[in-house]
Formats: sequence, C-alpha cells, structure tokens
Amino acid sequence: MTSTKEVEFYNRLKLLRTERSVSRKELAEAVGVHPQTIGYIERRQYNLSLSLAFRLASYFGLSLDAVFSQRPFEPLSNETLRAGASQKQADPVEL
Amino acid sequence: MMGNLQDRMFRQVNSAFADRLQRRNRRRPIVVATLLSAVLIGLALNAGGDRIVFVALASLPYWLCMHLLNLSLRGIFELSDERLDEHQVAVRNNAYKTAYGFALVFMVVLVTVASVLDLDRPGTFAVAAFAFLTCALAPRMIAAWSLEDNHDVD
Repeated sequence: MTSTKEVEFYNRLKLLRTERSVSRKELAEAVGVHPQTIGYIERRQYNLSLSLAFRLASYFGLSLDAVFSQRPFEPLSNETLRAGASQKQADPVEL
Repeated sequence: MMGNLQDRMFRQVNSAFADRLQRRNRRRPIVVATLLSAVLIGLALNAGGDRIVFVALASLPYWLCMHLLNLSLRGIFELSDERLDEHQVAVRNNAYKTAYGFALVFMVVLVTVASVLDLDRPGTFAVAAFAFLTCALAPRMIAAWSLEDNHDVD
C-alpha cells in the first residue's frame, strides 16, 4: 500500500497562469485561497485537497489530469509534436 | 464584537508591514527574541525587591514578540478557520502537533534540571514561568521557524 507521504503531485499552474496572463492574486481570489498558497502549490511545497484541485482546474476550464499529475509533465512542445504526428496518421494527405 | 476583532486582525496580518515579516530570515530572529523575552520574564520573577515592576517591564518584549510572530504567520493561530485557507490550516495543525511533542520533552528536561539544581522557591517559580511562556508560544515559534519562504512575486 502506498502511504500518502510518498505521493507527490506535479502541476501546470504556473504555465497556465503565464499563458493566460493571470496573476497569482487573481487566481487565489477566484478559488478562495491566499495568494501565497498558490505559490506553495506551484512549487510543490503543499499537496492540495481534491476540492481545491477541482476549483483550480475548473477556473482554467480544463480537466483535472490536464492540470495535475502524479508523474512529471512532459514539455508541451513534445505533446504538441506527438499530437501533430498522430493527426497526420489519422488524416493522410491526399495526393 | 468578536467579528470586528477578527476583521481588524485580518486587516493587520495582511498589511504591508506584515508582508515585510514573511521571509524566514526575518521570522527566525523574532523566534529567538521571543525565547529571550521568556528568559527575561523568568529572571524578573527571580529578582528581589520590586518584582512586580520588573515582571511588568519584562512582559512588554514578550507581548511585542507574540504580536510580531502573529503578523509574520498571517494570524493563522488567531483567526478563525473561515478566514484561513486549507494550507494555512494545515500549517497551523502541523505546528500544534510538533509543539505538543516539543513541549513534553522540554518539560521533562526542565523538571530534571530544576530538581538537579535544587532551586529555591522563586527559582522554581521562574523556571516554571519560563516553561509555561515558551510552551504557550511553541506552536507559533515552530511554524515561524520552519515555514518555507514564498519568494515568487507577480
């Protein structure tokens, strides 16, 4: 059985905030926490509750697994490249 | 009445002055000063003559340190749960848990030292006061000492 102490969560909060130009204060106000708490979550110094995780994901209009993961996230460029390659396979170019 | 007090406290702990006390390198000296002020009260209790005046004077730094500790921790030990978020509540609960263990060990050590030294009555009273004052603020001191810094700004 895995103990809760071993569970570590990775997140894309900082990336999402930067991408959408949302300050830590704005995000904190939207989800009802102190701005410092957002910082602790971003730096993985605090394992947040499921309820707060849902609030954060819903603020960005994303699913939970798009924002939080138990494994480190791949760089977005890699994911985009892979998504592009699978799209090409699905829709072969007609000559 | 209680709501007004909490409102005032909430504004104080989120003021610009409180912001300046958030860094760990500012919180730790306050913890050391708190311990020293508790020692000072112990010494004042052990002083001869006008003991009450000495104790009253020695209490001022202790209360000042307690206020600074509260500001540096954004009032997590003073404000009600409704005014705190889940991280702040977690920090507070962890500090209480650690402080409980610390207080037990601290009391055993102090009782042992006091019995070995075979102190007189004022001396015993001074050690007991020091123990009480330290344990009373132990959760705040532990949280202020150990809470990680939050450097990022945007």
